[in-house]
Amino acid sequence: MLEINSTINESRNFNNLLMEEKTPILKLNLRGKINNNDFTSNVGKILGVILPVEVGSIVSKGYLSIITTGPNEWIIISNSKENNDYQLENVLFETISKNNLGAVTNITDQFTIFSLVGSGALEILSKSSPFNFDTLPNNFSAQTLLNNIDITIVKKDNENIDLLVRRSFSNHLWCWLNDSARFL
Amino acid sequence: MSNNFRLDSGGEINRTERISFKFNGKTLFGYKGDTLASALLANGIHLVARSFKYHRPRGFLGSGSEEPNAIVQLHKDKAKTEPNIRATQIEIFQGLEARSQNCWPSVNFDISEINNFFSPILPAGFYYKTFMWPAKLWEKYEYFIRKSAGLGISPTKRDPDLYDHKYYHCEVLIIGSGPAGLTAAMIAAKSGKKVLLVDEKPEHGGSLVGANSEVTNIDNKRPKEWIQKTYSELVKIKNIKVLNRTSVAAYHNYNYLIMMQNLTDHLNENDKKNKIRQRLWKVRAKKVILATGSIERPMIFDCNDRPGIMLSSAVRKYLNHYGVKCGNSVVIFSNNDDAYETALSLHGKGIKIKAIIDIRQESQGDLVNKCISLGIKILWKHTVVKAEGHKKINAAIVMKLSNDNNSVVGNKIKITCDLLCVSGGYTPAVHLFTQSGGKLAFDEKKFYFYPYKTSLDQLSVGACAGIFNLKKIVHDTYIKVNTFLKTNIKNETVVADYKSGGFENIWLLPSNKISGKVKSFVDFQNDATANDIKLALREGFKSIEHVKRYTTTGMATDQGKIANMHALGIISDISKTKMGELGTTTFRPPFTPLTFGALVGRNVKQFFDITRETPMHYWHKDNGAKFEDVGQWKRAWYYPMNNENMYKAVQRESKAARECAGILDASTLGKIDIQGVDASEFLNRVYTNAWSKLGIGKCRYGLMLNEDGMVYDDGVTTRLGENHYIMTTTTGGAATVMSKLEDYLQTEWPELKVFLTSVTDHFATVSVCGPHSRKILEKVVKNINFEDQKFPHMSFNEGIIDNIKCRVMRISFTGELSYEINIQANYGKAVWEKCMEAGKEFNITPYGTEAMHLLRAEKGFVIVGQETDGTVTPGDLQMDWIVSKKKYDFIGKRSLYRSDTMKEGRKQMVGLLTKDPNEILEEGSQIVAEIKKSPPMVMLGHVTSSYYSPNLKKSIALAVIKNGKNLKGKKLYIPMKNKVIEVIVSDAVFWDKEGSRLNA
Repeated sequence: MLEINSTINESRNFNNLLMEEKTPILKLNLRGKINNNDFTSNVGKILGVILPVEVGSIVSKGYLSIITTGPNEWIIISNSKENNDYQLENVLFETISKNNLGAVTNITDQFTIFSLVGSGALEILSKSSPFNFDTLPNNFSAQTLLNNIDITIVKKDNENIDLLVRRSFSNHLWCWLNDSARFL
Repeated sequence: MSNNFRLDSGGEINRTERISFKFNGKTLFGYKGDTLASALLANGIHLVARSFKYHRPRGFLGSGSEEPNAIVQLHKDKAKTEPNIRATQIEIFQGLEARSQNCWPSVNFDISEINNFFSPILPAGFYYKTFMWPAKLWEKYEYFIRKSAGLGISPTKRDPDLYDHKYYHCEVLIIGSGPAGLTAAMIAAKSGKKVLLVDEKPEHGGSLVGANSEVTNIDNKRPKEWIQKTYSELVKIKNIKVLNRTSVAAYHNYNYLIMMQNLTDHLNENDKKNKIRQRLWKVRAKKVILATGSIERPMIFDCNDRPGIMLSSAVRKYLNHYGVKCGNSVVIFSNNDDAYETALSLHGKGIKIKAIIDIRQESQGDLVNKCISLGIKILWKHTVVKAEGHKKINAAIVMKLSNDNNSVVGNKIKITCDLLCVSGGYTPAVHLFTQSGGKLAFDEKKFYFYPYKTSLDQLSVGACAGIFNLKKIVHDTYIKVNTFLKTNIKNETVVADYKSGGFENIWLLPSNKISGKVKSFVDFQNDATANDIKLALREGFKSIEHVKRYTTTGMATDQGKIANMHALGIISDISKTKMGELGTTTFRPPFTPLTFGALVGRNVKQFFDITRETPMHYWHKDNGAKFEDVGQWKRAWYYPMNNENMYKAVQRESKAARECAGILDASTLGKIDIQGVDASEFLNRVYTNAWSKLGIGKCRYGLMLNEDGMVYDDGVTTRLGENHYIMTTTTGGAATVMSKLEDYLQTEWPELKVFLTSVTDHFATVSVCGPHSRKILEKVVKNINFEDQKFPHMSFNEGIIDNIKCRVMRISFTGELSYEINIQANYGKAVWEKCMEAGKEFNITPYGTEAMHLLRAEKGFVIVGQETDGTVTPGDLQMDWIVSKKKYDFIGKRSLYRSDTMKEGRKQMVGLLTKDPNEILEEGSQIVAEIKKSPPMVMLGHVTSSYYSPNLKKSIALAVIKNGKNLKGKKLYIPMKNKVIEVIVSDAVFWDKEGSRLNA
């Protein structure tokens, strides 16, 4: 078996903040027209959820979370290492892509996910992100910049946040997070 | 005389914490809570600085950020030294070292004070006139001008301090925590809104700090007690954040404000370690309440700059807040009642007031009457005509004003003193209001500009709105803020009120001497006098902006906080123009200077720029690769072995790639997954060539143009399925190409059913090339038949490496047999290592971007951005073959048929061979047909790529040359600094023209 090399693979504990890279998990990008009933009903059947429409909104079902990242675009994230296989990708690809209802693309390694837990989670983001987190409800996501790097923030609550960052930027961002966390 | 000017009791300093500091090398003592200014004054030191132009002795004028005179150099350390720091804003700490600047050898004896004697021949603008002739001497003049320019000494070593940034969003931002600010904050906080209250000072209270507690009373409390009570109530409310030592530097549109918070400057050196020194706040507020207070004006008379002449409110603050008396024998000079509060404070502390000079005829104010009842002498309708003394005032010369206030009459009265308190009234601090785009209006009766119109959701309250009476401030703030925030918080504050007399304003006080003999300073720091302003007007400068620049009034580090109003007033008086019509100069950010450190924050060293790393980055690093920046990517540039330099390493790497096997990390190339029923049509429109007939499993090179017909990007796209492609882009162009294509799909071609997904970071790309590459791939990827017929050039197969799916493309950027393995990024390093292991027997050699550039140049492959510069068409690259004549349209097609893009003689890409095969051309060198003895020469084009080819054993180059297509075989020249290089125009493909190697 090939050795997995995720970018960070470590956990750091700071004053009011625990940061770690989440174990790489399945991520699929889903695109399709929300007003296309064939698309939404097929996706709904496979995932067992009604696709959310509002950009930033998140729905979860079982081991899956679906984040609306744009009009007609979603990221499907597996929350479980055990279900980190090609099965879901294959089913969705065969049903959606192959039938020209939309597009399903595996982007598992496109993003690294950092977990920030603690009262310093929002504080550290405010050091370099212009986003107004007051406007971001719990269990919602937002796409913004952190230290000039594109990120997607998944806010579970004020003290539990996931950051999705493109893999190539992840080490730089991790270094920046570690540096900034010193001054919390 | 004793040097101890500290009162035995009183003030808000912590007398239990004695602090030693150094000023001009001398050890002095103060207390925790002192500013450098209050500590120096407590030690009897008034002479702290020299003025910029005339090197006149200067002391303290104010007590805050408006201070124009007392600017000092802090710290001796070459890294931490900081010039132009206002002594009135620096809180002392153990070990503080400060010294006077702009003086030599010392502030007490400054040789450059000789300028003061020559001042009659050094008026405003003298340098504009003086140094114009003779022109040849300019360089001599320049030396001395540059030497005398600037104040203080810059640090010469790297700043060791830490800075950071913070973004903050709030519903209400209140700037200033004086009586209006605190009142507004209480209302806003009680309304439940998210509130941020900031003040530039260490203490809250604004004008109440240092107020005479016998005179000022709120809620039956002394000012200090009311501030403490209000502050402690505020901080208990969860929805308000209160910051002190935080100065708003800039107020931009849409209520976006920049502010700097001083976090550790006031701490002892040991307590500062590893802490952020300053934090830059970037605040977006839904509503802004400006409670920035006002600035007291000085009086403009002869020698009004002497040390010991201070603003009345500053003297009061030093006395009541710091427990420091600024003098023992005091004269007060005023045009309003406020200075009488200072008189009462001084009198209450037993300090002798020799006289109050008041330019008004009379005042029936309560404070005035109180002073009269205490027997304080008041000279009504008098003015100070001169301050005597040199390094400190020792007497004020006073004369009676004429009835029309235009001259002085009677005899001179000399009043000896060591302190002259001046009060010329108050100017609302409207700087931030105007920075935000607000319009001012001028009150012709009260002689100040006040906030008039704003398009932003903001409000001015208190003194900055032109209200100076405490009771009115509180009352008005309640009404305005309640309306502004749509709240209904009741005003239950009880403020003791007193009757105030009138105010009389004379911008330039009359003198008994002729104008030329008088030095009345308007801008203290830049030594701009009333005479300078008059001269500017005589010389035809009418606009306030022109006068400002000619005289440098308002252009010092205090940004004219003290000077501007008087400058305007004098211009108004002389030009007989109303102040309101004159307008003001532009108040530009920052309100107070910012450090470069705060602006930069933590964006230093490794965080100066963001970087991207490939999945194999640490393999490259561990194997000694040198990296180059390509966009934001760190790409392996070359892998030196045994102390090789780049040239030798690249020669070795490129030779190995041709003779054995080379391996390249190509993960940085942009990758876009394209799906949809119209995917082929989409590619037809994006690229210049046709895509509909590309078979599944086949790859094709495409050239993408901009709308202007110029080459924009290129790359290989692979057809993965009927309606499924993967496009590769250049490394640097990946993001812009993705964005452009998405834009086209959403705005120009919404009818196309196509979906794009960036997968650049999802895939690691390992490129293996060379004669042995196939054997290596066969060892690594087991389930693919690599036979030439089964897996020909420009085709793709899906493979599996240790149960992990991968895509293998047979494509080549080197001209050799070459394969690219694309696999999930987290497996990239493992696959790379597997290839290295498998290739060991074939001497597989990792090569970097430099060798890649060489190899592709040998093959004549272009690099977008190197051979192209946004002005190159496919035809210019001699790639007409890639432009479909049959397609209805593609991006840039129309532009290719413009007369200019079709004309003969455009710059076209060619190859160049040097006459001497060992001569390597410099990239960027200009090419000419004819050598002249000296420039200018007609330039035909330039060298775009140049290398010594170890495989061809000669120098090769690519170039763009006018009419290059028709110049093959022609001799051209490249003029260099010390030689001329002869070149022959050749075909751009130097290696394997037939393509037999990549098809092998």
